[in-house]
Amino acid sequence: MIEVRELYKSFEDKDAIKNISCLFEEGIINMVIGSSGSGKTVLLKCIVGLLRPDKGKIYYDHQDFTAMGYFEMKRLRQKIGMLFQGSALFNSQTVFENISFPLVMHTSMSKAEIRKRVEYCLERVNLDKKVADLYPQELSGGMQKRVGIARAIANNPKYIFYDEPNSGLDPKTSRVIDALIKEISHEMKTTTIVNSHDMTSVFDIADHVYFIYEGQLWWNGKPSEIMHSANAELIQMINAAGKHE
Amino acid sequence: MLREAFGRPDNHRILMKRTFREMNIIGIESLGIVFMVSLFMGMVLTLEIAYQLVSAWVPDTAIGEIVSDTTMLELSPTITCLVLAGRVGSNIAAELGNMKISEQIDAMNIMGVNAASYLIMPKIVASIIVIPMLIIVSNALSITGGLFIGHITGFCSSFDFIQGAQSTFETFTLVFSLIKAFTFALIISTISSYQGFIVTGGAIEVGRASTRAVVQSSVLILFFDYLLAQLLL
Repeated sequence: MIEVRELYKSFEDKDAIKNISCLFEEGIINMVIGSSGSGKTVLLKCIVGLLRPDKGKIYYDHQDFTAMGYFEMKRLRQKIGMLFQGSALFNSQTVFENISFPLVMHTSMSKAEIRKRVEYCLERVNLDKKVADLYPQELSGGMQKRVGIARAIANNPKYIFYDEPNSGLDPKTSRVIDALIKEISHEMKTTTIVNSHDMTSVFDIADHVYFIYEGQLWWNGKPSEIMHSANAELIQMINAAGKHE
Repeated sequence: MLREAFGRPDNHRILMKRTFREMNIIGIESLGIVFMVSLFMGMVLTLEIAYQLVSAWVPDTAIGEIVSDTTMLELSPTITCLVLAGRVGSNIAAELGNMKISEQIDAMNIMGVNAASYLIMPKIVASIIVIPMLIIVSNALSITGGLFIGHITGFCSSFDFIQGAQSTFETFTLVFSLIKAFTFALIISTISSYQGFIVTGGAIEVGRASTRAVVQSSVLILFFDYLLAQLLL
């Protein structure tokens, strides 16, 4: 479970996020939605510690993340997996080296155990073992995302973050990635936060939705409640995406 | 950034492995350019000294004396490191800059890996080990180039050249050459890593960081060249 309390972050004079409070439960898919520039990525970067918030608190299972020291934060981060918008795979390393990276760095697993775990992760994201020897630039966008997910789950994380998992993918591949996120989150019982502006994903896989508009949390609730909400901006966003049902 | 880079490594075995990899990239892959630059430097130096000094009043060993001393004291460490600032420095800045803009460094940090230590420390350690080695090779090649061209042009015999080089050789000259190489290696690796690590934006900014790394390293090399000569000679 991750709790965000009264979070503020600004860049120079511009407020990126203002007074955001939310509770991301474990075992479900928490989806943060909003149009481009609404502040979703800033919120996610604050939650994972890539940005330091100006004000407010973040709790990982009641541990104050914002008050953690360097080594404490490092230990916690070993329980975090993240899929970046552009996958962020290490392009000088093979797929095998990418997926095994957190295992090599943080565990004392033998080479055989690491290979087994990498093969399991590849299988879990529906990729062939042969892909392991390829470099990220030899893969399609959808395959890169899957390798990114495989790397994110390699170390059995407790918290998984997905930043725009469907960006740059065709609708069919997007649904495959969505299905994968749903399966993995429910199977691993992780605290999952997905940043997206893809409304199809919202209705397909989200269990709880947080709508951010101009840096503020405007609405939160279940996807089924969205159409009944009185929030004009949210309805406008859904209409613009062409999803009415 | 340096404090983080020299913080406790996450995995010593990986650090060693990465350092050897960097030694290969910085050292072995630079051998070709060091070979060319050094050989021609020694050859040109011999011709220019011969042009100015060959006369009945100057001993035949003078060319060997001047070429070997000038090579070790100044030309090999400075010129070679200026060339390496271009080759190695731009490579380091571009590699780290690209990793930064494609969020690879963020990905490492999120996995609880100290990215500065994982990426930068091996580059700095490898540089300060292999660049002095390259300078020793450069010294030898430059003097050999001078010896060779002196012999084939007839300005000075190989015997006179070697005798001249040996007569003025002092161990401190070589030590001074290595002190310079060590200092310049530190400048090239730290400046370039820093410039790469702070990139924000896109491909244009990576290019700019790469240029800044080369320019700043070159200027600092020249400044420390003067400072070390002033302090140690």
